[in-house]
Amino acid sequence: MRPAWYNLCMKNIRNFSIIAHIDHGKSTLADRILQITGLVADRDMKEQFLDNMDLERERGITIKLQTSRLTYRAKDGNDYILNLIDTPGHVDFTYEVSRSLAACEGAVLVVDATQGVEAQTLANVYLAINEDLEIVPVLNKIDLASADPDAAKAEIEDMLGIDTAGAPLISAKEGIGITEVLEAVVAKIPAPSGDPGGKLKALIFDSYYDNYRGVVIYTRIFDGKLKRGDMIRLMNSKKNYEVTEVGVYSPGPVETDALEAGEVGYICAAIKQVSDARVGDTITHADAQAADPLPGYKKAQPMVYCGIYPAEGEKYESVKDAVEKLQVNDAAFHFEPETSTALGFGFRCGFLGLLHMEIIVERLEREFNLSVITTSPSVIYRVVLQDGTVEMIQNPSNLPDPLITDHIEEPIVKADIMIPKEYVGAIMELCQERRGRMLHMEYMTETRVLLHYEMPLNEVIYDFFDALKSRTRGYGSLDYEFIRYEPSQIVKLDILLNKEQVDAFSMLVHESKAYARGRFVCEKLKDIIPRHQFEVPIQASIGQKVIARETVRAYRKDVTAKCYGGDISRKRKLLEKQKEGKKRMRQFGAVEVPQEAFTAVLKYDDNK
Amino acid sequence: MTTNKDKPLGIYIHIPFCLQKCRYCDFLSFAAWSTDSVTAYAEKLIGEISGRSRAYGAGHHVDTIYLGGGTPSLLPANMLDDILDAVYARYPMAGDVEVTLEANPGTVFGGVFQEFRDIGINRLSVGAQSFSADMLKYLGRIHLADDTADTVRDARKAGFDNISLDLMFGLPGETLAEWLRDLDTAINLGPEHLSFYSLTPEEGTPVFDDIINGRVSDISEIDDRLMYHRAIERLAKAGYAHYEISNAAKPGFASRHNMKYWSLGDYLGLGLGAHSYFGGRRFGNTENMADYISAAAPEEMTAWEHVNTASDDISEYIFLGLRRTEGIDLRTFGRVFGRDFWDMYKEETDGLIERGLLAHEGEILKLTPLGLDLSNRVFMEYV
Repeated sequence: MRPAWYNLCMKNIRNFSIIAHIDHGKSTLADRILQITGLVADRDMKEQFLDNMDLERERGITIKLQTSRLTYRAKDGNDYILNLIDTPGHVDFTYEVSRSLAACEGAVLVVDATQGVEAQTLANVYLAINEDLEIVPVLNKIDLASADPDAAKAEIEDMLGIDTAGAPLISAKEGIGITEVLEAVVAKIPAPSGDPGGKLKALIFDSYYDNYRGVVIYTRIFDGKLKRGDMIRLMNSKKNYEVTEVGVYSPGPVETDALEAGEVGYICAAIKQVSDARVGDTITHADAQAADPLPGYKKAQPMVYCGIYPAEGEKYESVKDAVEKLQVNDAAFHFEPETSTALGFGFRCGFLGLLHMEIIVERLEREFNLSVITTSPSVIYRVVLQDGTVEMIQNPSNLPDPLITDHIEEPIVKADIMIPKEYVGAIMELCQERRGRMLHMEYMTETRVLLHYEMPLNEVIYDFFDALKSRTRGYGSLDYEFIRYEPSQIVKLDILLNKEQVDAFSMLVHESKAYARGRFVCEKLKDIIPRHQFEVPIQASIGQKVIARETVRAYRKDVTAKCYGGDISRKRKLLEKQKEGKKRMRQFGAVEVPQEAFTAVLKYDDNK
Repeated sequence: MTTNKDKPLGIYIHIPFCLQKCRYCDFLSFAAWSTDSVTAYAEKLIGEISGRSRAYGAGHHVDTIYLGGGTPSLLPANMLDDILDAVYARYPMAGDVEVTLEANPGTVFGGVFQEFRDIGINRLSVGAQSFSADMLKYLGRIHLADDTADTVRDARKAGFDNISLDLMFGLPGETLAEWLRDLDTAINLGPEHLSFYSLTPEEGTPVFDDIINGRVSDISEIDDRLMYHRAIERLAKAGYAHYEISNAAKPGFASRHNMKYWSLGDYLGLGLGAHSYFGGRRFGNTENMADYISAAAPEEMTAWEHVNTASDDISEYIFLGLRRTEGIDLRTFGRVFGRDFWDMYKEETDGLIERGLLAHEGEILKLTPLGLDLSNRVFMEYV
């Protein structure tokens, strides 16, 4: 029998997320909510409390989810339990966003009143609508002189079809209007429904690895009840575990007796890797299984691959250790060992997107203090051989011989690009350069245009986002998702230094881009590769055919004519510096290549 | 290395005043000064010479003194006399002490050379730099092309029999023919010693800015090296042995003072920003004139100090020693440091020999002609 207060309790729960375009103030609002509900004392308030990785705080973006249980006494006099589920704010993490939304009944939509609706606002709202969420619009940054809440409201109504009557006007930064947001959450977002007496059905919407407790799963209970000691089964990965701890975050972990339908909390079950507790999987009881898992489960699928190698003087084992640790905590990050003739032993790593890749590389460098070299990022090509077999290629070096290849297919994404109308020409040109096909163009408002494109993912991963930003003075925004593979004229572009191919520079590119790309890389390398005692030819080739060439002239003179007045220390310092520079070089045959060369060739600036 | 008793000591004295800052110069010197400030500096300097003698004078005999700058020849002879007297009074002198004065043409005339002789100066280093009127003007030198010849002639008249000329080559826009003409002019003046420096545009100098901004065209490295090697040939024909990267001399006239720098000899630097190597320590004076003048004692003038480790000494022995064309004797190396050169540097040295930068003949290791051009590439392997 349920206790009498139970229904009341369920009625007083609100599970919600905050969704927004990047930089619209989602994390700041989350911080303020924690503050106002007294969960975080003012003095403990670090900016963006929920973003607990340093990197996140620094970049101002949320990578890993955090969730918190708050209590709030509303103006109606009742106490409510608010479960705030923070969502990652970047296009690479759409699936994670969708799963955390699935754990909610509603979402607070934050729109920057100085910017209005952006591409990710749209994308996130569509995700929320897919999950049947009640959307509570909020206009942020009203303290800024350039704020135009009426215009932003009009955009929300016109573009999203969401009623903005009574939408709170707030400034998360200044702490204005936060109570109104909470009142709206209580008033508009429905309480969870579900059958507390039914068979256990709980959604994993995030997980992370804790050194002491193993994997900690964030979960939303839809039906039934979960307590310590239960034997659970993860329905998609088909594995059983015994629950060792159950609790809620508030904002630190607080153990509880049980989690019941409608609640959000965490469990630990001695799980060793986050990949064993995949986001989107359904938890049920091993001995009383639910009939069907919750819908929407997807395996995280890396979209972008690159090689990660220990830089000169760095140990392979330390890098191996670090990527293993990162993987334990990041189900979307894949790696397997590979060997490069140029770079030695390293790893082929898979990422959700370029941002994800940059984050992992930065974490390797900062959290693990490692110096690594990353090779050109590549998407996964589908290579159909003449005998009909298919190979999925994510390392250019593994591309099968053209003689036995029937054709190559590349991944295509659907890209939604939102821009102010004056940039339509510039962005259409950019998309065309990137082999995009326009599907259609929508005027969302009088001044805002949404371009729908299909574009090869390969073109998107080479700093397309940067190019979009720079050509729209920062106003353009982008959302994309994979749709299909398509046959394409893909060729392997090789780079030769001093006539020797350096596999780490090889890349797969569209035939039409090969010349420009080859020239670009040669020019870049010419500036970066230091002069040697001999001339260093830099060549780009497709097969045997050289398509671009530059030469690094030989040095003929490197001499200090005079040591003034016996100033040997200065001389020594210069020599030491020179030697230090040489140490940071990577040796390819007789050619020394600075580590920066590998990242420099990735920056592909169209406006050059 | 420890300093042995009776080990010879070199003394460098820095006079940081010039009439005008040369446009390529990044050395410690000032063009803005007053007679009073020079006098004050000389007094302070004399104080330092005397003050440091307790720590550095005893047990050594000074066999070289070098008055460098700046333009030390700007100082009146009696002031130079006071400075040198302070040295003579406090430091034991070797019988054949070499006393060099850097003398810039245009600052020394007629009778002054006799005065220099009288106060014990027996070697002059004359900053000729170029014999082209245009180049001299571009470089910001204060003298005219003919002044150098006058200086040498007057010095000879006063009895100077050890004269060195400084020349620069690889100047912006200079041709090989122009350089060789300059060199011939210098040789024809019959100095005992010639320094020939490849112009090194130093950051922060007007010449550097000119080149960076394209106002003048830096000559190519290939031309620069051609000038260098042709100069060595021509000097050899004229009886000057090339003994260090940028120096050549008639037999017996190599600069004994400078040789100390290249062979880990002890030297004491006195004056603003001067550097010393003494008893296995390198140390240097402050480069700030106000600090120098206000220092209560010589110890306060010292701005930094580094006690050379054994490996510092070893690497310096190699990279300084290789500046001399005679190279380094690996047996001497073994004797001095008690370590086998090849045990320490086989890989580096073999690589440099293979690249054609070093020659290994018997127990001698020295730079090849290509190694002279790329000497920093060689030296960096040993630091």
